[in-house]
Parts: sequence; structure tokens; C-alpha cells
Amino acid sequence: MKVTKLLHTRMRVSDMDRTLKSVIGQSSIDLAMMLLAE
Amino acid sequence: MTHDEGTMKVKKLLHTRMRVSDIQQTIDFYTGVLGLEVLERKVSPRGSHLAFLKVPNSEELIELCSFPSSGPVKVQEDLVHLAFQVENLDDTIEQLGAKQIRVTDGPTTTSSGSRFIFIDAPDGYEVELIERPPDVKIV
Repeated sequence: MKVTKLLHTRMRVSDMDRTLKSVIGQSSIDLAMMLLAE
Repeated sequence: MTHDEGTMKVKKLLHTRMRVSDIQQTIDFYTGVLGLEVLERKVSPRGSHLAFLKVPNSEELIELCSFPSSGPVKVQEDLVHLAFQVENLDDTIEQLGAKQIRVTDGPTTTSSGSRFIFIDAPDGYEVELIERPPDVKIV
């Protein structure tokens, strides 16, 4: 078999907002808005 | 969407790295079971054995690393996974069965109509295989 694409990498974290703000620089609410806008 | 003016911005996601116990066993899994391609193998300045894997239709690479000096590899359940798209999940399940690869979870259908299963790569790294409708952007 052959996969056709890498879709995502998942990481389970303790504190979603802290991880998003420190690594991505956005809160989860901002990110959700960005995803919805795409 | 709001951005902090002082927030730096990275340009691109280049690769995801996983340290593994047996790099050849893991390469055999990703090439033999999932059909990925080894782009490059090398040894880093500190002595890590590295392999970079190419996924079809994807620019992000998977970097495998073997460096026993860092201690045994212990992958916690449900900590991390890679998700790959497949053309047809039923065919995939059949092909996995022929290779005696066990489906550890699923098949499950999401609210958007995607269907997915999980299998285990060496060291217990979880791999998600997803068949999704063309208009679905995430899962």
C-alpha cells in the first residue's frame, strides 16, 4: 500500500492554551478562527 | 484573528522527528508498510543515525533518529501520532491484514464523513490512516 499524503502530526498536551500561545503565538480561540476562515 | 506584534513567525514546518530504538526496523515499516521513500541517511556530528523519509504529496519530512546514548525509547500511549491520507480505507485494511499488521483502533467514521483507523509503528508510535471526502480540510 502507499499512503497519499501526510495530513497532520498530533501531540497530546497538558495545557492546550499554554502550548498554543508559547509555540505558535496564538490562543486556541485565535487558531480556531483561523481554521474556520480558511 | 489577532497577532501579537512581538510574535516571531516561523516560515515553514520542515520535519517531524522521532527517536527510535531500531532505525532499520522503523525504516522497513514506513517503506514496506506505508510506501514512504528514504530521501537521505546520515550520521550527525554528535553521532545520531538519521533517516529522512519523504511522504507522497507532502513537503514535510519525517526524521528518524537513533541515538542510544539518550536512553531507551519510551513512547507514552496516545501522546503523539502521524496521520496519513489513504485513497481507500477498506483496501488499506485488507493490505495491512495481508502483511499481518493489526488495526489497533477503528475503523471509525467522523462527523465530516472521514473514516480512520490506527496501527502501531515500531516502539509503539501510533499511526492514523484516514480516508476523507475531497471537501474535508482537516479530519
